[in-house]
Amino acid sequence: MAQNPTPEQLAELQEKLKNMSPEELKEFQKSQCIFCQIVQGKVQAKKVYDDNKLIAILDINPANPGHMLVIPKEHYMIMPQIPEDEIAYFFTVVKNLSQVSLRSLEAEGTNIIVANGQAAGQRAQHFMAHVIPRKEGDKVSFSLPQKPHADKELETIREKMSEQLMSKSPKKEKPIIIEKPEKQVVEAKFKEEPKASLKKAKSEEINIDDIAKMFGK
Amino acid sequence: MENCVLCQIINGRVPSKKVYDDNDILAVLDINGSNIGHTFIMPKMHYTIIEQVPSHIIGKVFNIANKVSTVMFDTLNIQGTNIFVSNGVAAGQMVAHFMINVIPRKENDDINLQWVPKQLSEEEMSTVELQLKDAIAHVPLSEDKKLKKPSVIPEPIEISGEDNYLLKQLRRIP
Repeated sequence: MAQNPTPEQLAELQEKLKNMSPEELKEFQKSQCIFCQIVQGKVQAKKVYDDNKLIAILDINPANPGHMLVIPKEHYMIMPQIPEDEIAYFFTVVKNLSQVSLRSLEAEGTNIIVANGQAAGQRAQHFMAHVIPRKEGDKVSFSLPQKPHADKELETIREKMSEQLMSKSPKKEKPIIIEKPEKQVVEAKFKEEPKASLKKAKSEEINIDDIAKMFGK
Repeated sequence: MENCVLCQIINGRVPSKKVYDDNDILAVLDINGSNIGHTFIMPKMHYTIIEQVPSHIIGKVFNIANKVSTVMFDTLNIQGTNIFVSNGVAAGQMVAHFMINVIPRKENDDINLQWVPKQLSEEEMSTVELQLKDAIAHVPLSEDKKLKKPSVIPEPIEISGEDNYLLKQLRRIP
């Protein structure tokens, strides 16, 4: 996929991209995404699960044997893009895959990891979850050092976060249903620009520079 | 559950810094988090491991994790978030009450959620692939897509004997 393009080729590409419709751009993006290629069967992978919404494949750089990547078939780049019902379905399958790995691989535990943003270890522009089977003495060590924090600081953060979260809170007793969510805030998520600190991923528009950068990978 | 510190936080016997609270789910700040803002999200019902948690609660808890992650980007000066679950003692589970970590991340912080890839032979990979495929074929993985809310909150799902060793290990946690 990746050969470093010449400046002329880049300029040509940028022209092409400017003239594409949103649908064409979406298709183009998918063609550059290795996980979409895997979903479509164009790139080989060890698939262990496949349904109409998502697939699970073995990670080629596993932390342990049986390390799976669970990937939605839809090209969601970041988590906020994913509708609530899809998140619910996705993680139900993740839970069941965790159970399967406990049984069939005699694992003693599992870790489930999602990385949002490069600083968190996100390496691809396609949302995924890791399901990692664990055993005592497997030499996998995740390190979350404990650090005390000043109460004042904690309290400030608690206020800021709860203010935003409680205003988003769903009505009590409301089940998750596959209809358009009522809450405006949830809808706005898909039209809003994601924050700059996230890798730029607009649901409709594409940042041309990012596409160009992909060739450099 | 009497001996469970998270249940005590949920029923108010132990103080906490709550950021989200509804009928089914509670989210609180970790006061000794690796990065400040580290949040625990937990179902109010006492489930030990993820396998016991019913689908409608899984849906809620991960959707709230998604929202918490977004709110973290908005309110804290961070460059990433991790959603991290430790399921079982061997995976680092410290408390026998299912919960999710949402961890704010910055470049060069001292959290390590990376691993050294294990070099597995093609044969080993294929064996594992077959084992998983076989097990998956015999278990219905995809539940009803329409997540029905039960009229009565169910008891934690019974896990068959072979998975109980996981629970036995967790019960050893004081």
